Amino acid sequence: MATNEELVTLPVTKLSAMLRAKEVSPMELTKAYLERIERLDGDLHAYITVDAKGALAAAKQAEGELAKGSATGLLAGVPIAVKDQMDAKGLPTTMGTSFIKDVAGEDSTLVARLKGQGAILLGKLNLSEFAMGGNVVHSHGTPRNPWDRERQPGHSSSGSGIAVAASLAAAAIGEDTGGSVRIPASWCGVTGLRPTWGRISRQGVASVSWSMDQAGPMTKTVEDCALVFQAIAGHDPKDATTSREAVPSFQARDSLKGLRVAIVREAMDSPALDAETKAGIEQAVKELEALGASVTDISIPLFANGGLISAAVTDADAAYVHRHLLREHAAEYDTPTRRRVMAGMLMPTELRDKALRFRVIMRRMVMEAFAHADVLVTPTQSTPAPLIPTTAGGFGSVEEVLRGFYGVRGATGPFNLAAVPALSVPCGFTKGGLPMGLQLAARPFDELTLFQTGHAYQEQTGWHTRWPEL
Amino acid sequence: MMPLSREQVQAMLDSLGVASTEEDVTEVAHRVNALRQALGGLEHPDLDSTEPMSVFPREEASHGN
Repeated sequence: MATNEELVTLPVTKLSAMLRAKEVSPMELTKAYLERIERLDGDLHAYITVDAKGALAAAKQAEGELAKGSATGLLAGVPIAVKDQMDAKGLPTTMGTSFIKDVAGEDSTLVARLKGQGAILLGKLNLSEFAMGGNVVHSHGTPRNPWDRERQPGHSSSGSGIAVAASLAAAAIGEDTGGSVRIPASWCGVTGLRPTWGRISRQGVASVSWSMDQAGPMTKTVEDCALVFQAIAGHDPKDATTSREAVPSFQARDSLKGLRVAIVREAMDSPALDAETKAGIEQAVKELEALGASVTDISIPLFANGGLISAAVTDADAAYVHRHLLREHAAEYDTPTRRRVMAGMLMPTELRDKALRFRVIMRRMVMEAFAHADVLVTPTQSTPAPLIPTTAGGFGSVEEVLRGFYGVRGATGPFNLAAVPALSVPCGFTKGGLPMGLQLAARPFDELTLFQTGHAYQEQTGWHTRWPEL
Repeated sequence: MMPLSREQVQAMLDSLGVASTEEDVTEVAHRVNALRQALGGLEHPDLDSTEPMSVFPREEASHGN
């Protein structure tokens, strides 16, 4: 019999099998997570709202259904949490702010789908203010990286990354506008998927940038990621932009023979890429090759400008989203968020148009790369998790903005612009014990190839089985 | 594209009815000028013949495998 501490570190697929075999009950599992949240979250700040009462009621219902054999959902009895950007009936959606406290009258489509598949909602997770990244004062507590509490967990789905790494939920949902699932996945050492834009409904998910936003699973394994993705993806009549493409179910590949992998040269040549991360990616590519993949490198000339173009597209959209809030609540915004939104409001339409033209060119270049490769490889982030800033600081010059603001989205932004799926998987640790992430990208709607590649890599390497001691 | 001065940034924020501090204006000027410099200076031979799009047609998204 596993102890509670052992139970909570198991992947969803294993927990699901145990629940169906009645080796553990939904109530026991839910209580185990709630106890762990109580013990650890006062310091880690993964959660904004813990819904213990709702979770225990859902666990009781799941217990009855599993006992009767009527629980058919993919996630029956599995405790999960969502970023506090997604509406869940009866709970506030704060977007990480101090001044938005509206209680949702209904579930967002993705929360409804999680519940419909039997998942137990533990609560709502911390995030960077308005899911924009870069804020300093977190109104609901500073989220801390479980591998080193003095370091950032990554933005903007900070709580989602912490919750999975610290085993405060069996899986979490994040949202990725410019890298916000993959960045915390990389820095927290978990698996995170930014699906093809249009795969997952945005109904009931507060918007950052309508054409860039896409929610995605953050999990302990690629297999879990595929399972949660299957549970929440698919057309939604409430969101006309969702795709009718069939959602794949996961099928493992023992070998990657026949798979063509290409390393994006511009990502590996970036002056911002630190030596340990570069070595980690090079080793990961060798592992893919050992699994049977053919490996080459490829150039996407616009790649290095992806962070700039991605932020320009996002900030122009965000200026509209914030047009009333900023006028009414400017002083209540955290300083970097306020200044970012202000700058977006002053963007000339000429530059917005130019950014959207470059978006099309980026898409064209990425699609051309897929004529030569099935999977593109880059580091998810060029460095491991940095220290948590202690002062607002701010950008003191144009050069600092170019380096510190646009650079951080350098490897993730291009794939958001191209609207293709991208997966981050743990690929090792620095000498200082911090996780590093490998980013894999595939053609639109080809999440299955990402899952198969990532799963084979995880089976080969085992980096995804290491968790922080807490 | 010419950089904006602090005074110009302040005037534009005022015209939008957005309250700002002096420190806000200084940093917003850096942010706006960074974008004007970097994106304003970015060129590509296909830029003028490429129409701007936010969303891509589904038929283009062939799996190709």
